[in-house]
Amino acid sequence: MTTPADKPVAITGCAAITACGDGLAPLERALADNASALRPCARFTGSPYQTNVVGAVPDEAWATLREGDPGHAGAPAFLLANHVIRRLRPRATGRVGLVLSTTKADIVALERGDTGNRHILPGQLAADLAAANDITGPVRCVSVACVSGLLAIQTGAELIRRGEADSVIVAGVDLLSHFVVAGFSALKSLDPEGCRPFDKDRIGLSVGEGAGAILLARGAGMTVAGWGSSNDANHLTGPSRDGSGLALAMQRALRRAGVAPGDVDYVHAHGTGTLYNDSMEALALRWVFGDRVPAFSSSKGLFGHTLGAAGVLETVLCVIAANDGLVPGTPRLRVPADDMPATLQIESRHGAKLRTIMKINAGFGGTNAALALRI
Amino acid sequence: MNRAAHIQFPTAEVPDGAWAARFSTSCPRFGRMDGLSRLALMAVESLGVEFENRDEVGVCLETRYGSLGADRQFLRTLSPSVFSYTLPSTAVGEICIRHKLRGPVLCLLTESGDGRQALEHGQAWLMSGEATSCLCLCADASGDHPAEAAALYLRESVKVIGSLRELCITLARPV
Repeated sequence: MTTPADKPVAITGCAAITACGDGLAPLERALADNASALRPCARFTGSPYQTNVVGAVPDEAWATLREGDPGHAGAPAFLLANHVIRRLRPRATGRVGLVLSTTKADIVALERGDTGNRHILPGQLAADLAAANDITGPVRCVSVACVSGLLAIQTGAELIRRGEADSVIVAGVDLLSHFVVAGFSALKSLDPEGCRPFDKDRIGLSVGEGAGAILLARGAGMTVAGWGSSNDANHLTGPSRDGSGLALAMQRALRRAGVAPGDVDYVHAHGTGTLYNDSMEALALRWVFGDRVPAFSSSKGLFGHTLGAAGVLETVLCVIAANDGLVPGTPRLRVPADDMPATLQIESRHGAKLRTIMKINAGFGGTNAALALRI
Repeated sequence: MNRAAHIQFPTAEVPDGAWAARFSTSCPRFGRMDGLSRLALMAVESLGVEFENRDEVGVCLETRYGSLGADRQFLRTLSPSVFSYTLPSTAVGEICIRHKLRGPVLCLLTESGDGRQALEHGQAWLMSGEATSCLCLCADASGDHPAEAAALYLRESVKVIGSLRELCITLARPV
């Protein structure tokens, strides 16, 4: 007989707000159409910005959020994250925990000199979101660059596995800000026309903003079967040139899930559109899968690189893809680079059956993370 | 055997004088790092550990203020070299690079910054087999408080009854 504690940790609910709009429906449409929501944004025109092409949450969605919670109208990170947490909170039962994933929390408060603002510090933002949603179980805040989201999901699954929570809402949030756009501009990391992941002419990434949330609990749904992380121990801002660090994280996730590489149907890649990241990922995929690399693609051209929210939002995309029988394409990719495996998905492919999905991310500080998801 | 270290300075500023000499040849960019990364590296150095099985050593950092000092400096300068340090997890990356550690990594932001969560997660790695040993740290070098770091090299489980900070102060005390 299977007891609840024997059941694997599953994703039992999802919520999102991105440059595509509010909710899952706009994401489903964009995935199916292989569309891009990257657009010029007047806020980031001129010096010191390298480009104003970003993945901004639409103005009308922001207006709705502010009207719905006027008390937090000046707290954008709280507004975005609270919006997606509230969507899932009624379905979270038992001892409920919260894991927040963010890199910069409410960095715009620091920009405007509001140094006393509690939400400048990510740990305080997490505590306030938990309090606002009557979440009295364990609260964690994970901040590990672009792998924050996947490590937050791992942390949430661990809390349930260890019996510290019955259900956990994992929420990721990051804002488009002067800080972030000027920072990546200073590094000359942005593609002025918008990112082109895995393309032969790729020259940089596009930043985006948004919030995503998933509800973890023991039960039916896509299971978080395995996870792993690693560090390249190589370079602070660039990936290892051989892909071995990311491969290590993927192998750890597969081992924990008890899944053979040949069982993976699809890999949702990090795919930022930078020269080194995308080549490194191609090497890591070959390292793990040899000459049988599964179908893979990137969604950074869909709503941009949402940093601390990326891992959560991209896991939401994996759930949508599995439910809709869809292998996502790679928006904005035109001509694949020569070093890419032939299984790179340019267009979205319908009618697929995805049983095992691998989600991977890599980030500053040489960090790598992977999830093995199964239906 | 587990090993612990605790270091503290009078203000949030992390002086690099004597430490810079210690790192000068083996880690030339030490002086250019943000305070949190320097402090974290100092704490790990204080442990005097020679790591084995470096692919299996985890690193978990807990911090309250994170990269706030570097964030403020970046807004003043817009310098690309400062931007690299505007993530609290950069300190984890610096530790991994210096000691060639490729195990699991985590950086937790908490209201207390006392290392309790870092210790819990380090313990969980050991018990699940994700790591054979791990560095659990809490460190802060921003805000209005003295710069302070505690580090524990965890090779066997301990009973978690308090914060990492308290545990390291106790264990690191000369007898």
